[in-house]
Amino acid sequence: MDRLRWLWAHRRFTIAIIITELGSISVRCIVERARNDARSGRTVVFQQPAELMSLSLADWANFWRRTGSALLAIWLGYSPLCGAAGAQSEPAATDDLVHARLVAETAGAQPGSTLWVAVELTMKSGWHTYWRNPGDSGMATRVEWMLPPGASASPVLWPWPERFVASGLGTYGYEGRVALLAAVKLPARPASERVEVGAAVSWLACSKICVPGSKTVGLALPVRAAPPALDPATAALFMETRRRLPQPAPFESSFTLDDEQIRLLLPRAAFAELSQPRAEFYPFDSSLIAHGAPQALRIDERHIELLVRRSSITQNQLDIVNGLLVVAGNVNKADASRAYNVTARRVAPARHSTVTPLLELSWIEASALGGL
Amino acid sequence: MMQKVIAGSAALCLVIGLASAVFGAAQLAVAAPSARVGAPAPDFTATDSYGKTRKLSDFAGKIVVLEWTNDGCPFVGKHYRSGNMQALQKKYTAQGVVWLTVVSSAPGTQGYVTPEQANGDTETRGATPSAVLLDPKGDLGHLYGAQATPHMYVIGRDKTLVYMGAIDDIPSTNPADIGRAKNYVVAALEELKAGKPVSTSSTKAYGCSVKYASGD
Repeated sequence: MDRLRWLWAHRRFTIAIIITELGSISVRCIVERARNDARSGRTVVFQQPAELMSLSLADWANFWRRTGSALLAIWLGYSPLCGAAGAQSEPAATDDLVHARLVAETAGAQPGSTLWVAVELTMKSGWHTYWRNPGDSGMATRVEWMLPPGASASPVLWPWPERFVASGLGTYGYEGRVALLAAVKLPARPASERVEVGAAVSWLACSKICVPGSKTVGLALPVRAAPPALDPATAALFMETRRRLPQPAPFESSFTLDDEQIRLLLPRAAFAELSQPRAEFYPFDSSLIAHGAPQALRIDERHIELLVRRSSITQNQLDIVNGLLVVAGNVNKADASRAYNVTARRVAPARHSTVTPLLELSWIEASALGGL
Repeated sequence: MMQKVIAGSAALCLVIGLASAVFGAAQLAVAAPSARVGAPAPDFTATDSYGKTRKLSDFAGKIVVLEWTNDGCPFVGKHYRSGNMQALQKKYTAQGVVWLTVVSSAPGTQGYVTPEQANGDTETRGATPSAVLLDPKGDLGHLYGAQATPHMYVIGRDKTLVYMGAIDDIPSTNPADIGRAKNYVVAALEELKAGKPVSTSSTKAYGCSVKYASGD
């Protein structure tokens, strides 16, 4: 029986060193593809092994003696080869589910300035990718930047997500299209005439099933001495995305915790001017609440209270709760949905004002009445 | 179908909303799972892939591991294609631990298996659980609050639930992460064997959602 001794997994392929039954050492490149099997409805991850080299133990010793440190170079040489073999053998199944690209807000880059870039993900209809807190399942999209020397990228700015509830389990993510923004601070002295920015993006796409995917995307912009003009091709994307970025909360918030739930207390001002206001809380910590449970909203003249069921693993020693208050409603019949970054501090239940409900809603009711 | 579910949920919430308005109660009327770390693990009766009835109370004096699985889930695939899950099953069942793999996927959803398919999967994966429990109605899953695949539970000899959550601390589908991850199940089992309290007793499970029958 062949014995696997060593495994090096890349996003799309795996390099395995295997000691075979015959005592030789085989280096194999295993390209993985996920395919939805129509008959069973199951995702089949199939592997296409391709042998890169297979030598007997003695030959390996000989090979190592002769090539020595050159082995590393060969190794590095084989890795992209393996990737290329995979790319040629079949288009990645995940490319059909999620299309990724990297775009910039401007058509050029000015040294020493901030360049806004966006990783844009376009999902196939019915599929979604995840927010920074995926919820009860799923996986947050990850972005690893590849920047010019001296440049640095801000943390990714996430538009507020949608909450998906299925069979009592809740997740947070994006359907359709999402752009994850970042501000890249460029060095004062560019190393070349072009600024190149890359991003290794990996995600989990789910509908009824989940398929992981990844892509390395990049862009190159000419260096400009003056502030460059907005790129008309991407201006709308950046504008639309900024409209969906959470704002700092211009109000204080607090919460109490009991055995069953977290009660968030916010001032009525959070709903200023909104008609038919609705709200939901999306925590940053995935273990904080039962993400699929309905959230009950109570409103009086001065306060808003949001009742959120705690999860089975919520800690009792909890002083601060961080997350998004996603508020939906209309101003003059126009949609005025927004999200606030909320840091709520714990207060003792006695200090907690009691909300006499004028209105008591659960979010799902509200959604059914024509919500988000 | 989805609209029906939403309409149904809306109607249910309306009733709940009215009920809480009438009684002045602010509790959310959704039943919470009964499995809690530090409390007795809920007893259950389930049928395994050989048609045998299995009860938690059958395993008196034994450590029991529950492993929620879905063969099509890439997070499960990470731990099976690398051989990690099989190695854990082999090691701990040899030490007398009862390892129960649970499938809560509803018919027609990803990961649902007939008894024959379940046994076929066990064979092709080279897995050695003590039994594979088939839970197509999701009763066992809901009882334990299983959310993801893999979702892991460790039950002590006295049938106290001592661990629930993720298999390890690197939520990814990449098998290369297994070697550098801290395996919470291994840690819990080793601490149990040494008679020590389990230091990390609950974590957030990561993976695909359990494919429960919709509408429950």
